[in-house]
Amino acid sequence: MSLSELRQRDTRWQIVVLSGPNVSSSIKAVGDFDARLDGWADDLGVQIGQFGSNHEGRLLEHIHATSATTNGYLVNPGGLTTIGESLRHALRDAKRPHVEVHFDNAKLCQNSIFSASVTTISSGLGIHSYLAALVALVLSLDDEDFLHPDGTSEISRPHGAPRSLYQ
Amino acid sequence: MTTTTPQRIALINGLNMTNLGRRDRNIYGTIASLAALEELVTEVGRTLGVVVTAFHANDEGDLVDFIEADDSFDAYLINPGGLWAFGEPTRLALEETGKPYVEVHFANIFATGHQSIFTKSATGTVMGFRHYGYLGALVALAARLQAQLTAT
Repeated sequence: MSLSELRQRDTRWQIVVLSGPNVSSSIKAVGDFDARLDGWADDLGVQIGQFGSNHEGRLLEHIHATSATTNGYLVNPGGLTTIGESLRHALRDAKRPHVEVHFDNAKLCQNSIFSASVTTISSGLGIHSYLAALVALVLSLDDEDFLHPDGTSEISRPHGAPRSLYQ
Repeated sequence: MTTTTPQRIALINGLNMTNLGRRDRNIYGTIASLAALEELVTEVGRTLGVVVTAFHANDEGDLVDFIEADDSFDAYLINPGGLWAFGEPTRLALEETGKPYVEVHFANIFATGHQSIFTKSATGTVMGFRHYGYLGALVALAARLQAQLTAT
């Protein structure tokens, strides 16, 4: 089946995939990381742009430069997971839905400073964490009552702030 | 790659999920009911070539009974509901199956300042996408199972 069959719309959402410090070792272990992500994006009918850096400032600048034209971010903070306060702020300031992604669920249990402020989380399934994140993000962006950028209903959250039972 | 025996995934919804459709729409979105959710996940599973068996209970013992009664599933998708805070018997039952399981929540529960007890032993965690998280998790889990199958 084509993943696009799951969708309510055919908007070509622009999604940026950010890889923080130390993530490149996991990416190299996958081998064809870029091609597989591009393949899933094609299948879903969306556009992704990948950017990785070991330098937090470059990640920030990439977010600043892309937020106006980007509908959502997948972010693997890598070595910044517990300390990347500036990256966390840049993502919040971008006012776009953003997904915290990890290859391994152990990373989620190590006091990630991102988890409480990101819109959503997809973790633990290796490269397939990115597949889960892409599919769920795209379906959520398609929904005007949820993450669609033009959503105006009282239950839509186009700016991607998380909601919980306590907020 | 097609296989003669389709992979089987158990979809488990825990406590309070029967209230779906009547809960806070800010968190739970527009899905009409638990039955509608189970039907959607099962149907998407069918198009992916995996068999989804849905189960729900409001009593934790029933969840443990279900997990222990049938060890032939290839993987589990579970929304433990309120058990995220203390569902140790359910978590242990899943861990003891030795099969991959993915924890799914409608909300990002980390935003409450809490952490689910399931996360430490769950293969994966998908949260905050309302009901779309189930579909993302299912697609990823099916792809993962298929990749393992073709690798062996």
